[in-house]
Amino acid sequence: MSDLGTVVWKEWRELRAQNADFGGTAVIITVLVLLAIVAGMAAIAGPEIVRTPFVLVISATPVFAVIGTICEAFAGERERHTLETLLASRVSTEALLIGKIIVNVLYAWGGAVLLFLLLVIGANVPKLGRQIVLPSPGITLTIFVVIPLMLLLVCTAGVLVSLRSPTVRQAQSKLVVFFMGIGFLFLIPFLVIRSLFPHLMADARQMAASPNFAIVSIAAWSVILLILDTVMLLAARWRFQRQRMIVTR
Amino acid sequence: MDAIVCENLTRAFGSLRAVDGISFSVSAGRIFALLGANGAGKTTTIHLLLGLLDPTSGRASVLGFDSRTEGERVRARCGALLEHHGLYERLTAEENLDFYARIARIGPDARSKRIRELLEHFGLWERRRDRVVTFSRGMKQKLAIARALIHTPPVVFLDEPTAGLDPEAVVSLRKDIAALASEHGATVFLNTHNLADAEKLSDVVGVMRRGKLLAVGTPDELQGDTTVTIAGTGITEEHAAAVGGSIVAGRLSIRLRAGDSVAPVVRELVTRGVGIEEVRKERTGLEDIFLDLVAKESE
Repeated sequence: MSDLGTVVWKEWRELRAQNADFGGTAVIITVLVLLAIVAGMAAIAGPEIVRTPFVLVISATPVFAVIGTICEAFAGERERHTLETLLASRVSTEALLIGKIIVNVLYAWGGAVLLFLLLVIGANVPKLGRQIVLPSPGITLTIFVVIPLMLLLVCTAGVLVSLRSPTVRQAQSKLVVFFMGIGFLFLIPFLVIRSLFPHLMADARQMAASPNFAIVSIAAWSVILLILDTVMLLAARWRFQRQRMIVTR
Repeated sequence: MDAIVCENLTRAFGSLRAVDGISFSVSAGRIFALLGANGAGKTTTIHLLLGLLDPTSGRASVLGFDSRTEGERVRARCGALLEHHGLYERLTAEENLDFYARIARIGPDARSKRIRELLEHFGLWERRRDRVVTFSRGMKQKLAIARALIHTPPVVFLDEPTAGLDPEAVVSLRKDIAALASEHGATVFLNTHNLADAEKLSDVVGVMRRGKLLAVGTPDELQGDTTVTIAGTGITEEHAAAVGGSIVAGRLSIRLRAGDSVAPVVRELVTRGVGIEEVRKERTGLEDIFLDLVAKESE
């Protein structure tokens, strides 16, 4: 447990230093301006926007951003020649793996929650004094359950590909190809069903109109993501072998 | 007691034998230098000893722990400066040491004390809050050694510690490495292709080439031969032949084995009427020994 805390501590410091490298104060100002724009857009759109998928699309943007940072996990250490020394220390395998994943998940999820809160507050500001419009339970559950699970999937996949990648760039390319593959894996059956069994699509549309559909589908997606997360974590643990990581350069 | 033991240690990568059946041991508190050109198998040997690679055959142990099966125990008791300094350049000097001190599970008070002690010793205390990326190569190398020593390990592995440093930094670093053994009682395993490092620092030297250990011994044992040069009047080829030497640049040159005295040679020459003006004894350098061993192995 102390090893895990130590790895999280180091990763957090590196992430902060990395952000400072990109311009420090200038980055903070840019981020604040972007956040102000998001809140402003929500204010212009009005309270009803918090009940539309727009909130989800904006709040989920950190999921894409984390693809860039998670590939730094091991490929970055390898590229900067710090991996060998780290592996030669007493730090445990589990702490290294989980520590790197935790920091990236929390960092991106924090961003997602911040965006979500900004949208909700921004949208309600012009109608202050009236009843506050809150997002639907489906949207709220997606932000607080589905997005962390999605981030966990992206991060474990990122760690998995970065374990043996010689450079961060290569790891990022692999990860993008990996998720494109996953996308096709879901898209192809959907297209096949739509063209071969149109009545099933009609049934699905009918189901989607039912009041419990959002909750049921979130529960189903959560279970699927949880299973995928577990499988990916186990695969990463299995693939993490100190001696393979030294040889594969 | 032996701190490091290798028994017929072999590591192959496909058809290449990076380490080929090497055997040696290093007593606790001694400095062992593994000497060899780039690609000789020195770094692979360190990886095998630290349990970062499994041997293809043979065995290695550090402080009595098997490097293959008890790698974690070995790594917990060793400090290492590997091929690259391995410092996090975005972090400060203090943060780098703090990270490895936390990994070594040193408590907060002891950690601060130890970090200060090491940074002061290596002259980096004033720069503790500066990011490592701003350091010179020599400073990074010193910081990396400080990191290797953060948990006061009984065994320290140093892979080419003086590579790329300026002469002043090399001298200073050599003093620090020597102090590891003499003041702190640590066993130091030094990989180097720098003959001067091996000659000046080590108690025992191993010469490695193409994965094979060509020779192991103290510098004295390896540098056993002495070359004697005698200048004087009336020296001829006949005199040289009589004492088993040769004439080089007008002087008589003779190679003596370890323990042989030059006095009988001088006496013989005087008896034969040579007027001795100067006798100079020179140890055969480690460089000559190294080149000699490598040449023999190539044949």
